[in-house]
Parts: sequence; structure tokens; C-alpha cells
Amino acid sequence: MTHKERMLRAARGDWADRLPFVPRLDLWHNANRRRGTFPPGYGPETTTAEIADGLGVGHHRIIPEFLNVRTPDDSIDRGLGIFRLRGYAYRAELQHVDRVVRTEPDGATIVEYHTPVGSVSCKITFTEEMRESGASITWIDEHVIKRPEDYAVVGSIFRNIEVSPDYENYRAFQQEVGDTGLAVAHGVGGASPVQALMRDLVDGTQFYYELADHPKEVQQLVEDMTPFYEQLVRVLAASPAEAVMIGANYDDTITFPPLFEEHILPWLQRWAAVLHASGKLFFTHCDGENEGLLPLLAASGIDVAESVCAPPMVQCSLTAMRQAFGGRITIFGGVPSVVLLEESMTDDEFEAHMRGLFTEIAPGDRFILGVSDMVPPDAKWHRLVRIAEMVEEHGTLPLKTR
Amino acid sequence: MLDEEGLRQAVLKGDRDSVRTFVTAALDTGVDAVKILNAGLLPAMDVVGKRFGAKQIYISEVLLSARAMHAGLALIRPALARAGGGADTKPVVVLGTVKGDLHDIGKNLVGMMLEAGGFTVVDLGTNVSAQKFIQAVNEHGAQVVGLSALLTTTMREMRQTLAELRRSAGTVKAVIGGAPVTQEFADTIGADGYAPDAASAVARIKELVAPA
Repeated sequence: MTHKERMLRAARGDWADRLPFVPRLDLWHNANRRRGTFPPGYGPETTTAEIADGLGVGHHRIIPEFLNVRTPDDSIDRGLGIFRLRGYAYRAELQHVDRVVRTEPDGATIVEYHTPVGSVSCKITFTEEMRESGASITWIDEHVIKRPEDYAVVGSIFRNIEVSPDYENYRAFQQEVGDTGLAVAHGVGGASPVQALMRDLVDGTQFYYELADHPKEVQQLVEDMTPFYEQLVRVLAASPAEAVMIGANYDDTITFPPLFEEHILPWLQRWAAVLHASGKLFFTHCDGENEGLLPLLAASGIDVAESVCAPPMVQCSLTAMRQAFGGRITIFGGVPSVVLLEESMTDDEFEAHMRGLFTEIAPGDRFILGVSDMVPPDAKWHRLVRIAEMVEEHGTLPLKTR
Repeated sequence: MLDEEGLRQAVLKGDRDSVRTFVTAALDTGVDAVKILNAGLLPAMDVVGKRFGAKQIYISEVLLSARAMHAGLALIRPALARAGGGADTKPVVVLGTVKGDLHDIGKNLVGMMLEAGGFTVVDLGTNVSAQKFIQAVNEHGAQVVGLSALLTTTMREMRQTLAELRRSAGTVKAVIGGAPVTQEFADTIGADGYAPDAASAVARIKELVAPA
């Protein structure tokens, strides 16, 4: 089987021949290329794909490379949570908005949105420190919603966004990925309008005050953003993609259970129904602490919980997650990134951890092995190689309990 | 007079208008600001911290309670300063997210709960260099420094910051926290404490500043 076939079978709940192993390498690659610290045998121009092929693992083409833009337009609306990246299956265009962009002396980008109902602005940063640490996305330093009156402006922007198919863009991506992995069509990071508000539109701490202080404005914004989401999911559902990713970064402290249940779960369920009606697999990015969210995720209708982390980085065990999901949702992840770091555990502890992991996930149904959230820049190369070897040696499905 | 129970309930509900009303009424009738702090505001936040630690309430309730407490604190601060007590005598904790990392919700939560726990918090924000930590620790005479990182990529910065603190900031105790951080990592880099969440951060820092 190809890597793609293995991933698709695991995502659909069918048996593959072998446990798929698909580590996310882009951040590791960016940082090590910059530092000139690729492993022996890999030249300075080595691509992420060549690294994956060298390891014999699937290509992780699930999360877009947010910094890999073709033109500034690709990421200029990052402050609204909107990207137009290579490989996207849709384009979101702002209508009736005069956008003014300027660069500050410190390199930050200020984007002003002037609409018939008022103006808002945001500030996007990407510092040298972020670059050196291998950050994968720019940072919103000032959010578009800073005052109660900004809600109406942002609402107006979203009400007037036109979402259109960009399937050729996606097909080129799909063709490039080929059988090396699964080319997932990316939607947006906020699974729902309220999660978008939390992630992109207001400051993360201020968000909780906003829910308490301005419920009417928040509700109006939800209504204003709903047509954008509906268009988006319709376009993704009709796309040539086999799998679609919507929503990211759940955590039982940040998106705590009552918040998730009220403001995220119904939307996930809604998108699941639309995507499933078109035969699409529904991925969502579950890279935080999932312990308190398990029954809600289990009821969400998603097919794949992607970037699932495990102890010692979180409390939620893979066993608990597999039990809660009851064979209905595929877990993608399982290797916490810190186990690849020398300072977090010794080689012997790493070996024991990985053996324990294989035992824990046996028989290995509905599982795609990955590193959560991603392979860190300082990962010990021989540990990555070792995981790939273990998959080769012990990864035949169903896994044996040893 | 001070309606202690009313004030505590107002803090617990995150009702800052009621907190202001109770505190103003108490001040108007000559109640000592220290009493308002110690009998009303801080005990209520202590309950909030315990409930959060026990997962009985959620982050939004903690933040709203902390904001309500701050509304009351703002009203009594002048009286506290006149009395020569309060902030100046509290142990100081310098907090920040290390260089290269801009995430702050976890750090903010720790800061609020530390303030509620009777500490003076100097919050340096995010993307904080080792030099800034050292400067703040020395300037404020901090007993503890809290380093936060959400990204695996910035753990290395945590190690370097701690090493520089050890060289240049005397005997300050260091506690680290954040998603990728583990007790093993804390031990490896020589941190004095590791906190997996905000509630345990406060508990660990209290242990560190307690008289031996």
C-alpha cells in the first residue's frame, strides 16, 4: 500500500497493511535548514519531502505552510483568520472593503479595513526570534476587534465575503502530494464563529471578557459570520479533496467543556453532516489537552482527530481517547514532541516510551502515528529514525500486544 | 461596615459593579482597607483558585473573578499605600513568556491567581529576553521568576534564560510551565519548580517563598 492508501484506510476505519507514520516535519525542516544542521547525508537544499522519503514515512500535508506565501495577498487577511495559500480549494475575497496596508519601522504589518459601516485594523508581527525558533505562522499583535463598535465592522466584512472554488489550485497540490500522503483541503482554524473570535479576532484573554460583557455583539457577529462558513463548507464539500480540515487548537482549559459544547460542537456536527453527505472525511486539529473534551469530540461527527498529543505533555491518555471514541474516530498523532528531545528523556526512556505506545494503541485500528504537534527543531534525528524502524519492524496491522 | 459575605460572593460571581459597591460602602463607613482585602477580596479569590484547581469552574470564571477583585483593589489601593501595608510587603514574582514565544493566556492566568494569592506580580509580557528577566528580578527584588513557553521550539530559550538568571540574578527561584514542559525537563535545566497548570504554579511558588 502507498502512504496515501494507508492514511485513507485508517481515516475510514478500515485496516491498512501497516501502521501509517506521518510526522509533521516542516518546522523541523525550516529551523534546521536555517541553522545548517541537517543530518549527515542531507545537503543544505534538502526538501521536507526528501527528508520524509529518507525516513520512509508519509508526507504530512495536513496543515498548510502559513509562511510559504506566493504573494502578500496570500496571508494579508491573517487578522481575519483568512488565508489564500497554495493548495487551498477555495478563495475568500473581501467585497466592499478598502484595505490599506503599511509596514511599521519594526517590521510589523498594519492592515486597515475601511467599510461603509466603519473601520478596523490589526497588527501582524513576525519577529526575528520567531523566525529563529522556527515559528510556523505570523502573530496577531493587535486584533481587529478592540472596541464594541468594531463588531459591526467585522460583521460587515464577513457578511460580504465571497467564497469561490479554487479547485485548480487544490488539484495542483493534490497532484504534487500524489501517493506520498493525503492532501487535505484546509478550511479555517476556527471551527465556528465564536472559535474564530477567540483565535483571531480578539485578544485571547479578552475573549472571555467579551463573552460576558458583549453577548449581543458576539451573537450578532455569529450571525454575520454564518454565511461565510456556509459558503466555505459548501465549496470544500464539492471539492476534489478526499479529506477536509476545519477547526484547530481545542483544549479543555481554553475551549473548556461548556464553551465547546455551546459554541463549537454544534458547528462541527453541522460541518460533519455537510462533508459526509459529499463523501468527504472530516479532520480537525486536536493538539491541546483533550481530557475534558472527550465525550464532546466523540459526539462531534469528525472522522479524524489530528495532532493528538499524549502524556507526558497532556493528561489525556491514548487509551482514554480510544475508549471515548469507541472506534468511530481515527486518532492521528500519539507521539508527544518532547520525547524526541534529549533534555526531556534519555534514549532508554524514549525506547520504553515508544514500546509502551505501540502496546497501548494495539491492535492499531483507526490510528495514524504522528508527532504532536510537530517534530521540534531540536529533535534527535536518530529517535525519528528509530520510530520509523519500529513501525517497519512492529507496525504490521493488527498490532500485536507485547 | 463591611458585608464580607456579600463582597466575597460578588467576587465569586465576577460581578465587578457589586464589588465596587461593597468596597465603596465599606470605605465610606471607615472600614480598614487591609480588612477589606484580607476578609473579602483575597479569601474569595482563594476559593476561586481552589475551585479552578479542582476543575469545578472554568477559565472564564477565574478571569471574571480576578477582574472583579482588581476593581475592588483599585478602590482600596490608595488607603493601603497610606497604611504602609499591602503591595510593598508582599513577595514579588516576575513572570513572562520567554523570547520567541508570544502566547500569554496561561501566563496571564498564573499572574492573576498569584495576585489573588497575595503576591505582587511583575508581568513582563511575552517574547521576553533573558536580559529583561534579569533586569526585572534585580529591580523589583523578586523572590521568584516564572518562565512560560507554549512552543516546543522555545524550550531551548527557557534553558538559556534560566542559565543567565543563575549567573546574574542571585538566588532567585525559578518555576517553569507551559504545554511542552515536563518535570523531567525542569529537572534537566535546573529549575526550582515545575507547574503543569495555574493552580499548581501558585502552590509551588508559595512553597518556594515559605520560610525554611
